[in-house]
Amino acid sequence: MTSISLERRRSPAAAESRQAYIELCNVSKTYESERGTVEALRDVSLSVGTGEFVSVVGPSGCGKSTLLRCVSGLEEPSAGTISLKGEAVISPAPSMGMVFQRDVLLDWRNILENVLFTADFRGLPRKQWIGRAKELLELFGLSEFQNRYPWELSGGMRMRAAICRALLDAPELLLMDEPFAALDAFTRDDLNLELQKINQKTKSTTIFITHNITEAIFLGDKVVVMDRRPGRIAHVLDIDLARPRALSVRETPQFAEYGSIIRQTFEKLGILRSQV
Amino acid sequence: MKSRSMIKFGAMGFPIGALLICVAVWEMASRFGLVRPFLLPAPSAILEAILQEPGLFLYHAGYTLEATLLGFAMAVVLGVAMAMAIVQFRFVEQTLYPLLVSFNSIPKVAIAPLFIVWMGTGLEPKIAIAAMIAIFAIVIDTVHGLRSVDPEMIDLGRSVGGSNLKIIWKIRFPHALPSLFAGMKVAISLALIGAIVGEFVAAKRGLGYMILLAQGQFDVVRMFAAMVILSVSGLLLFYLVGQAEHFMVPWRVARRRNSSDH
Repeated sequence: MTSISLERRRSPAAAESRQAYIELCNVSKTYESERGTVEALRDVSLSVGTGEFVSVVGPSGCGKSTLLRCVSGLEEPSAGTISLKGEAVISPAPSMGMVFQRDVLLDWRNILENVLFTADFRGLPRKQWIGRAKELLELFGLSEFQNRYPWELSGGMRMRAAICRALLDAPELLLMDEPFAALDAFTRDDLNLELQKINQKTKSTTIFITHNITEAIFLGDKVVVMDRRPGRIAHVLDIDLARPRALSVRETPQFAEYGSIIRQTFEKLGILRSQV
Repeated sequence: MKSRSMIKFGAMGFPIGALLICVAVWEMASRFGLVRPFLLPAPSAILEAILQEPGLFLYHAGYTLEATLLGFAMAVVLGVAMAMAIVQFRFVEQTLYPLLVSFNSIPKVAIAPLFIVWMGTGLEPKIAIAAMIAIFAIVIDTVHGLRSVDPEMIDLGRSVGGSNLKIIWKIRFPHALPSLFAGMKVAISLALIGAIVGEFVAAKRGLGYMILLAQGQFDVVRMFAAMVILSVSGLLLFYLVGQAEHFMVPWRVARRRNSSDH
């Protein structure tokens, strides 16, 4: 392996048929706690095609994160099955990158070493991955900060580094759990654009959890609307907007239409109030 | 307006100034006959005693420091291993941890004579007592550090296929280093106490032995001289641990400096 291309070649057939990469079938998850049983997910079925970007939007505590953790293999569903490329998920997939709400950068590693974390943990030789890590940092405008330590960087830059870390080995599957929730609106818009740009190259199948409707539509090929606990899928909406999308797409009538469909779904569920 | 060097002078200057004033008052009290030099010798007399036989003091101090450092090293190695086992295995947490806590409530000075019976009057029982006194601080602080890792950080390690061992070694342990150093700063002083306790019970060398011997001869000057050397050693050891922290945990030191600047 001499050079690692950002683009992953996919067979044309797979691209055409958009075969299901992730398949969730009647997935439920209950936790036993001291205050009794908590039902986090109930009967969730969902299919995500190869290379598809799926946004999951819902109120706090609707089991969005639980859904993501089950797909990642960090947690096991109580009932139902989850499969990746037709194989049941029992542990974290070998080609998966995760981004969490907090950037969880390691304080004792500089930015470059933090990005190489993935290689270290997968037991891959650093030498072969340094080039790729620098390429990613360049893409996210962090080149000059590669030798800095996390505490020297702003929240937005830290999150960029966390995304680089997740993308290091060009994972087939990218799972993002409210990555931009803690960032200010400008940084968030900026990162939405950057995420879209890189995802057009890497074509990772992505599940993106958010509680921001605009962000969900802007990024997604598909938006999954979730109901409150116990988490259920209330609606799945296909987003048919041409890519690459500029921020101005948010002011188009079509975008507004998607937004209003999602809002009305939440109103029907009683999560948002329809009357003032 | 205060400049940076002024602040720095304040940090070092005030404690040193306070110490000098204390020593000066003490010297005066002794010289003007306010206290009997027999009970409280003047600082100048103590210094003179040290300078008269530096080799002798060095000989005894070396022995005490050897026991202290070996006991401290043992406490760090064993303490970190125990902390890791406590965090990693529920069984160990439920058995070893309560035992350790109840063991810690026994006054160590009371166990010291037993160690002498078991191990003789050489260096070994002193090392053991030093380690025994110091280990508790190491275990408690390291367990705290290992546990305080953000659960998402552990998830991150697992999500890229990291084994338990890798997660302990590459995430939990480095994360716990600042806590480990906090424990080490307490432990180094305790180890010195342990070594002296061991020497008090039975010894043929060391600063503790020197103090006991001088007491028997009513040589108060020499007792004070040994105590001065003991406290200087304690300060030096503490300083060395602090320097090691600077070297090993630069991120923590930098962050602490940042937050105190505001």
